[in-house]
Amino acid sequence: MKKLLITLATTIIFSCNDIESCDANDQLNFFILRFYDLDTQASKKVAFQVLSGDLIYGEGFYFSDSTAIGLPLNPVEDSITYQFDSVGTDVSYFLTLSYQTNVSIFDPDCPPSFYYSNLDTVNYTFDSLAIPGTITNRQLRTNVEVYL
Amino acid sequence: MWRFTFSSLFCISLLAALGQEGEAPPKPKPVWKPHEVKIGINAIRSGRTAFGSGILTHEVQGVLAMHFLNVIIDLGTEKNTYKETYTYENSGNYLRFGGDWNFVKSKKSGNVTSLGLRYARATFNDQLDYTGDQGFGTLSYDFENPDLKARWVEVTFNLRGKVISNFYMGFTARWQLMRKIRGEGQLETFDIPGFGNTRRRNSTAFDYYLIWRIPLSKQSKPPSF
Repeated sequence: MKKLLITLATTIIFSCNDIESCDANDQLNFFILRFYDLDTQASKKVAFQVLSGDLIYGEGFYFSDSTAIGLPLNPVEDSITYQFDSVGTDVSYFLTLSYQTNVSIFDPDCPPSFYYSNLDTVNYTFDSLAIPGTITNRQLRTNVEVYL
Repeated sequence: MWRFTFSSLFCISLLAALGQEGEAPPKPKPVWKPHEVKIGINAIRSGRTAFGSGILTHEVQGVLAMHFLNVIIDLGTEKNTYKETYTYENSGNYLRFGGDWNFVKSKKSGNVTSLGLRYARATFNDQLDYTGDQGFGTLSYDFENPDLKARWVEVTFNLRGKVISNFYMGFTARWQLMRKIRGEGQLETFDIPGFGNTRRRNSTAFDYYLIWRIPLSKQSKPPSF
């Protein structure tokens, strides 16, 4: 009986130790897009001005000398279209993604955690594209692979 | 030949001895007639309502004792509100139903040391209001799950001791297992009334009860089992 009570007390004490750091949350509120060379399949550095009609930032996001970028998804929509204007050239690409918004509370002391699942392509003008990660999560290195 | 005769006689004597055991006086049959009812309140839940912030919860427990079996029903209500940089509200009711096997032999004492099983269900709703920037400017986001249902099973260990007259106190330790939720939309529910945090599918809990005992039959002397 004494052993049972000690085991019980230990279990309960450990189960109460539930306070988490907000940084321990693996969920991400953006997706990660990586660029690869179509011929060699190697990582490729790109420079893009990225725009979307939903973004409030007038000029969008600017990336240069990057092999990967993170882009937000709109929580109140189920799809988003991004325009990628290649810096220094007149070439533009379009990518439309569909997704499902999910919201959770990781810990009451942390802000609500938005993340996205069922990530899929609706349309794109890149040469080739793959979606190895359909959920936005820190554990996944890439959501969308773009070959150009 | 002698060896065979002795072996046969030994076997016959063994069988005869076993036969003697069968003639022992039969044990008294257990009486399954209910002998007491107990009504309890969950002191931890009521205490959290009185002294905590953002939570309103109460639970009553009814127990019908029959022989060593206690049939138990718990009814509870819970409303949680988290107000930080957002507001999350979760409210609903829950029910647990099951039985405990009491290992205390004296029925008269009313004391309990038992192991039990429960099946639990909760019906509840939750909603989240948040204003923040998710990359599209500072906007208000509202998410709601109007019709949530959850179920799980529990293995319990219970101790109850007499304090005075027909008043008892004691705890229940719960191992909550196989939790399932139905009705979730975009918002993943954070709390289940009666279960707690949803991060784990299996969890543990601890409750303390204040209990009043109502004997159903007068027992002038403790029954002999």
